[in-house]
Amino acid sequence: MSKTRGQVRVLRSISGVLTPVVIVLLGLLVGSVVVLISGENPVDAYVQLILGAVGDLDNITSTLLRATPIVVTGIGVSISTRAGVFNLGGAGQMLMGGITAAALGATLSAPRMISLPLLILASALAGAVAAAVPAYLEAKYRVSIIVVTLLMNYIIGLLVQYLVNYPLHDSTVVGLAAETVPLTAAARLGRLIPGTRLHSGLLIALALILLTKLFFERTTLGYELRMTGLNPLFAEYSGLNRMSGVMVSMILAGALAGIGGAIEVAGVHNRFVVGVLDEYAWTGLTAALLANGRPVSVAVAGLLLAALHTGALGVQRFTNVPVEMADIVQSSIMLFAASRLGIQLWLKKLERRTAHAE
Amino acid sequence: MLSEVFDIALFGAMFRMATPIILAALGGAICAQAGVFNMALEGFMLVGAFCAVVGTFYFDSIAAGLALALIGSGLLALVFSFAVLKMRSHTIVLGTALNLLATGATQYLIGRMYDSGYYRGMQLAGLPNIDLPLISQIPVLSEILSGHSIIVYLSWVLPLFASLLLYRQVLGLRIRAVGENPEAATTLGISVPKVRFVAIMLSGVLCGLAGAQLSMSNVRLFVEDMTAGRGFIALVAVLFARERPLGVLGASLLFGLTDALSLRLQAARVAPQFIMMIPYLATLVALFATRGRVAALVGEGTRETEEAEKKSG
Repeated sequence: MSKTRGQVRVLRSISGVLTPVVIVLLGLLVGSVVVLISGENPVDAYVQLILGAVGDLDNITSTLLRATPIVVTGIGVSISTRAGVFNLGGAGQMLMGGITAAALGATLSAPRMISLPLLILASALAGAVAAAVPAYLEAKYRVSIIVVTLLMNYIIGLLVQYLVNYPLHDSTVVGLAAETVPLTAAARLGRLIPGTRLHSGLLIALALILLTKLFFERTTLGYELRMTGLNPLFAEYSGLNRMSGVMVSMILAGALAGIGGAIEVAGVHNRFVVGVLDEYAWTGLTAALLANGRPVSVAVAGLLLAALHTGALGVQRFTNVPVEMADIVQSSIMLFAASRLGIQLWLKKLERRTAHAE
Repeated sequence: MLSEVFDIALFGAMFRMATPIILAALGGAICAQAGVFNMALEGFMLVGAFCAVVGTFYFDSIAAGLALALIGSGLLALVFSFAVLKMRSHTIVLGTALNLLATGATQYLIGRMYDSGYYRGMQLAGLPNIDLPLISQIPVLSEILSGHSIIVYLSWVLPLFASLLLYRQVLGLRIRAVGENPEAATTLGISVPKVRFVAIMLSGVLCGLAGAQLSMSNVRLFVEDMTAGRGFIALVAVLFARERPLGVLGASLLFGLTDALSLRLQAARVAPQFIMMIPYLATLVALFATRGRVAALVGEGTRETEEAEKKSG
């Protein structure tokens, strides 16, 4: 029996949704092993996880707040990934944006209408510069962008630690982690709904998702980048040279990561605190890989992973399972996402077997 | 000032600090020669360091610590090879995932064991330092070459062995054949997955040793993320040495020297963060010298996966 074109399309979209679902389920399966090792019941733990993520208004707020920087860096890294560039420097690019927001935000006194765009732009620029260096080395000299971005994460991490501990240090605060002096009121992102912690960074994130979607679907440059990722030879035919492809996609990725860092600093902490940005970029990368690069899917995946992390805080509060469970589940999801092809083949085999059984 | 920094002890420290890099890079080089880009060296090493401390603590024996280090990183290597060889994983994403998994899992387990992020055992035995016969009699050389742990000495001998293996043994010939041209190797009757499996497992064992040196000798405790990018520095050593074991030894010693220097300079009047940057900056400079060589290393595994991905749509 031959399938109509419509049926084929439906089947393809099912396998497009099914594969990430299987990847997430496999990740959660690893999570239940962690729960069992901790001597708890996986069902109870996952109930606590869901409650912790979306159980009440406060938890939903936490999840949305956490999702915002994750989604912004996630769609950023998806731009470079779709262009076929391996950008593992999201963490460093985000730190550059965050520290720039903290440094600049502490001095801005102009009205919010001027201060905030300035802050966001400067952070985007800082992230873009951090991404442009490895991009240039790769494009011009063919120095591995993978290794350069990884090494730069360490270098930027140390640079930021220096800035927080010396020039920007707030010595009035005695805490576990070093902090910078606070942002001026004009440099802080406004509350979205008074009385909640939700800030206007959420709107920025939504706008960026839409812009990235339009960029890929409606602009020539976006189309060319996408095609370059699918087939490097395409670039040469279309006239977009390899160098500008790598540079443009990395600069956009870095700018978004920088904005992600700025949103967290100006929306949540109102200062730069060492350590708070460390995990977001890797979560964003996981979201990009899980969603295979499409902006709206990346946002959904980012929201899901943010829920996993806030939910894990709830699990830690009510059971013996520590919050690290979320990191283990997340890296397992990335592990299975790396094996997307193998999982797809496995699903096809299953499908064929059930078809035979019928 | 300079004479305080560049003294005999610095070169002794160079060998100690270089050891984990040498061993991990040796594993990376063997994988690269077999056509596998092993980005998970960092994670393998971290698990090795963790298991070494756990084994030493629970069984109160350094032999158990060493054994567990090899088993732990070997298991991670098993996961890596299953994913690459059976599930056609994307090697770069896979390596990144395993590195993050190693960080998360060791952090989780150390927290469960000791209720804190690190273990500073009071009676945790480390690897004994062994004096070399004859050399320990010679004044200057004894301070540089003698009095190291067994793993340090191994890190001098193993590159020679690896070199003999790769260039003088049948297995080595197969490894290089599989890396250079998998299709041709297959027609010669060589099983590409089997050979790659051996290479990946060898890198797992070598990284286990590297981790043990970190947590049982250089220091005697486990701290979260204590590998601190040494696995990536090892990757640069592989590139720098064009995947040759003896070159790996040389490049890693150079990186070990920058590591030792940065330890030595901590007392300087410069902010410690800049001193700690030295090894990474030096690695970045060395990486620049490898320009153009990347494609070869990232090579096979990734390219095959990508092509297959495109075919399957």
